Amino acid sequence: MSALISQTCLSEDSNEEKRGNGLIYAEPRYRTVTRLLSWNVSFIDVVLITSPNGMLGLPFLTRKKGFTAKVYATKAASRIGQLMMEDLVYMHKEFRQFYGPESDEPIWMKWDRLEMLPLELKKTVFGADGTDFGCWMPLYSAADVKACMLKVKSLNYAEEICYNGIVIAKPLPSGLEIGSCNWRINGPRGNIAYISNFSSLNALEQVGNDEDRSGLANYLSNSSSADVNSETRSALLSTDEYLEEIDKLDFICSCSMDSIKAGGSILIPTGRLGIILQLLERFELHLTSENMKVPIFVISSVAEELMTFTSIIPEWLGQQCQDRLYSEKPSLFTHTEMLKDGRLYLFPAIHSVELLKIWQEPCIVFCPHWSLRLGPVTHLLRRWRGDQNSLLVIEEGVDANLVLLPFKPIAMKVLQCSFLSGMQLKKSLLLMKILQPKHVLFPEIFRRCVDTLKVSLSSSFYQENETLHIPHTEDSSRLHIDMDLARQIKYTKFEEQNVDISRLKGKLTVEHGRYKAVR
Amino acid sequence: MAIECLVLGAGQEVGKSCVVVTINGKRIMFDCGMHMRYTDLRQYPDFSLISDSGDFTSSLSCVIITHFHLDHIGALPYFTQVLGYDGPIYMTYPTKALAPLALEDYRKQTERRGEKEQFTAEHIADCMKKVTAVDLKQTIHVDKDLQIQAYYAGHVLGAAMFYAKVGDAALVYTGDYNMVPDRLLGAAQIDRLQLDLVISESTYATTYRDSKYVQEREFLKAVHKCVASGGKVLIPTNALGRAQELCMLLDDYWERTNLKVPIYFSSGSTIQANLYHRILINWTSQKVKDTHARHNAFDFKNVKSFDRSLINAPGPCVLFASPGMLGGGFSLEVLKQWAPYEENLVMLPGSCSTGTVGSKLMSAKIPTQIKLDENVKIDVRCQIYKLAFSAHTDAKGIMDLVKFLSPKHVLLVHGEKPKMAALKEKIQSELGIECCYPANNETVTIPSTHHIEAGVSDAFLQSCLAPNFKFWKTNVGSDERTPPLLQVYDDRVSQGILTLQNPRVISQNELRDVLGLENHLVKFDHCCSAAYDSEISNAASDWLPSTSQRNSLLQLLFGIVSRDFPDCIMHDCQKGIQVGSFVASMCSREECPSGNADALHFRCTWSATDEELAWKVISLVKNVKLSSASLDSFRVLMDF
Repeated sequence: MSALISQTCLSEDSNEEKRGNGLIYAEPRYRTVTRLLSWNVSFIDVVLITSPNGMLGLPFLTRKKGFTAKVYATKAASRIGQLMMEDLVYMHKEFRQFYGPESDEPIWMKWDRLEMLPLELKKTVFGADGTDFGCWMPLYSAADVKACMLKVKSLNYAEEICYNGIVIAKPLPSGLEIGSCNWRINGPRGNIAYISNFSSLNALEQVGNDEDRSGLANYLSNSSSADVNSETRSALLSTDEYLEEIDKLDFICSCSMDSIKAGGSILIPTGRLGIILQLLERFELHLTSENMKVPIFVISSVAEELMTFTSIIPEWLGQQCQDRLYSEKPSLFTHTEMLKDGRLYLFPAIHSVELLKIWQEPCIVFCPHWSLRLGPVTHLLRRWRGDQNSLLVIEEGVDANLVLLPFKPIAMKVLQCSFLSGMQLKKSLLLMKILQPKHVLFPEIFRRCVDTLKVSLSSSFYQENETLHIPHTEDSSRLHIDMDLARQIKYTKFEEQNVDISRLKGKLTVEHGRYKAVR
Repeated sequence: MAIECLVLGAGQEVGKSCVVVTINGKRIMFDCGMHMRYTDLRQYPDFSLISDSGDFTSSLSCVIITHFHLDHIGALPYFTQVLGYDGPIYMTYPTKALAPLALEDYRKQTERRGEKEQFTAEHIADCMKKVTAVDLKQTIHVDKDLQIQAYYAGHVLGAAMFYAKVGDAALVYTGDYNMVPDRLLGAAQIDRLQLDLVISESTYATTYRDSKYVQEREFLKAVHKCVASGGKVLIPTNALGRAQELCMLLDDYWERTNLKVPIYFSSGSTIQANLYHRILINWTSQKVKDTHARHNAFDFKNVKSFDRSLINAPGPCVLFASPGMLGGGFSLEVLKQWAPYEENLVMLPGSCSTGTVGSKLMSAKIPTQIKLDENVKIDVRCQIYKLAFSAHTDAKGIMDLVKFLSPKHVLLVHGEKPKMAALKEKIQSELGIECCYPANNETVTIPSTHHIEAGVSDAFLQSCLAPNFKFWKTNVGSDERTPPLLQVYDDRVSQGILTLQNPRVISQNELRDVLGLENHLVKFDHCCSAAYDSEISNAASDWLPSTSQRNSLLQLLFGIVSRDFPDCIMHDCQKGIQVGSFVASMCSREECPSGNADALHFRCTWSATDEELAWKVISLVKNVKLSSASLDSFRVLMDF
């Protein structure tokens, strides 16, 4: 009924081919759901988006011929997602301006060249079962993004949409990123919760609260009395995760302070808005307490838009930010102040004239792209890679060795850091205890853990390119018979079977998830 | 079951809006306003009618506030902090942000007037901490049964209409709303909902207003004329809403016409309200939202900071000063200084309560003298301009909304009695919707929707929802050359069987299984005589007609019947013709149930469901004379 497209993008290119490190010298290509090419997209009815990152592959789907599905995302996710896509398109444009346009079939994709690739790259290019090669696509165009966004219907948190009269979907805050959500889907024969993440405590993003959870619970399980002990509940609400996250951010900040003191600069290539915002808040604190004046630059074609957007969305933020709205000096983020008094600068590109005028080192720079192949980061990395006092912060999950290969040798310090990007299995099991669903689908990689933990849950495991069939949890649909109609009912008794029956004649309507019989 | 509405305020008047609705056992208070005309306890709704014991927390499910105007929220701090209501309170994000400013402004005014204050600054702060902020369209489950949802209402920043539902009973409380967009705010927006009741404001129950753009243009013209001739413009407004709207107009106009005359805000809370407006820009009109990335409309470019020395500084200026009705405070102070000069201009708000300087000015003829108290008089020679702006919907808007929502009942509040009576008549006669407008402290009871719930089989749903198309050919006119029109009928069965035990609705076909009965079929049998002309009498009178004769007679019959019943078919082995379950075949004497012994007969059988159809066909056959002419034509056809 619904399909969720999340993009896995992987790019490997470099102009270092001649050096013989085996990298591909080309414009990055992208891969989305492998089966996308073979699907009949006209069979998709609804696409639900959970986060800004989760919609980066959407234009690949919406531009396909015959795509008519309804796409739903939260307002914040669709806005941020759109800006991220536009930024990506911009970086590609810039790439082509530097290196010239590419033919339809780049040289590296010719068979004789592919044969020469190192084993590791071959695996990436062809996929584990060797079928992925055809899925590598050039990036969509700005027009694709525009057309795609016209098809996205955006919602507020907890705003219900009704598909086809009978299926109701509702996004509930998940607490991971601004605008990210879990989906609750109610149908006549069972209810589904799609949980991408559940974070109960977060300073910046709006979090799922108790009501939302019970909302999820009721519908996921339909058990009238979910007997949850308070211990489980408080464990789920524990602040550990959040404090750990703050510790991590503080660690990055203190490392940065050390580097700055030694005269080095800080380079943070990330596309995650939540991380940028949190880091800006922490940096502000650290810099103020150390009484240092170091300019912070956010360089991206959409930096201005992103920061303006974040300053007008109290409805999408966590308690801490909302409280700032109700304070004497209303302002959601510290960055509004920092922008005003010249501690923070936003620039669309590294070659902006204004930027060159005020550029000074040491400084702190946030810029795309995390792959280190596109955007301002490539230039800055070249500049600072030899400086042992400078610091590069990259996210865990990328192969540091591979992404840094073209920039070697590197004297610069590299800090690899994992940010909160989902729910731990332990927590998800706790959540299941509260929700008491009749059936749970876990990703295949959790199979071992779930098995060893001996969880008493009816569960199955999903993996890519596989369709699972889950039986209905409800035996039958329910019908609401209007009182006007019900008053006309006259029962006839069948003595033998001990059954009273009546003829029911009226109009059947389907409205907001309900079958109704009216006169 | 019923919905019970207790009107505690704004019943046949404007002021202290407060309606308590009991709906399927849940009790909701919509708005908790204050009456600005009184300064004693009469300014509050009579809360004692809600609960004798004074335990409001357990007698109310929740309190909902529609917007930050004092006649909608003014009594809230008193209700929560003094009377001790401790249950949930809902309002939109902007209302939660702006309400403390409005309340604090009011509190300071009473303090200045030296009156006894009903609540303190601390009360306001503590009260606001209990508030849950909501976003538009967000579905909020107050408890297991009660669900509420806010919809955009225009009027002021953050104003919302609220939908509340318990079980099948549902209502909308509109608060104040505006059905046409203006420069600052969009028009009210709501979904088509199934409603038992709409509680609507009716400030302009009988007024029809022009477009606001005309009024805006006139306002700008008046201000421009005054400053161009070196005059000072005083705009007395309260800190919130109106000030931002007018300033936005002026700032935009200043940009376009390149005016450099300074604009001032006297009150700090107005400047703070501007900051809130900047963050809450998503709640403004589409145009303001669309342009905010380039320039936030509340980032006023021409507004300069103000201090008292500027009151008598030479040269033109525009000054926003509170309070709005010139009832004292800074705006009155400035008025004293500026009123004696002809070149100056005072912009009076749309309505001023009686007794204030504002209302005296409103009715005065210039030049005049206005008495402030025994000793102080002001010479008024300046120009006076009355702002005609209103953020309330007019009568057309109310009618449009009621028509759109089509509830079973309408309850009018927040208006003047005679006008409400006129609107009630209009709603009842034009829309056919029951309507009432109770006075304060009256209770109205309204019936609500209920249903019974039953399981339902897939087969039943299928039979109701799956289209069941029937095609029908009809000849148009007598001209046989035009092809017959094909008509399509969607003949769905919305009929089923309800079982009482373990209530469940099933389709008729499933009943047998439920009851464990065998199938019995009722079949009708009829022998129908047909008239024929002499030429085929041979064939007809021969009681043992050959197969070919039988066939030709059936063909003849088929020809006649199929003309009127296009879905008539000839049986494979040509034993008979069939329409639906109706079958006609040649009647043989031996088997004939009626024992007809003469002439030509067709034996007709059909099942109970097609009775009507069967008799139609039979009457057709009876009224037609079979003739060989038509037989011939068939022969010809068959020869091919």
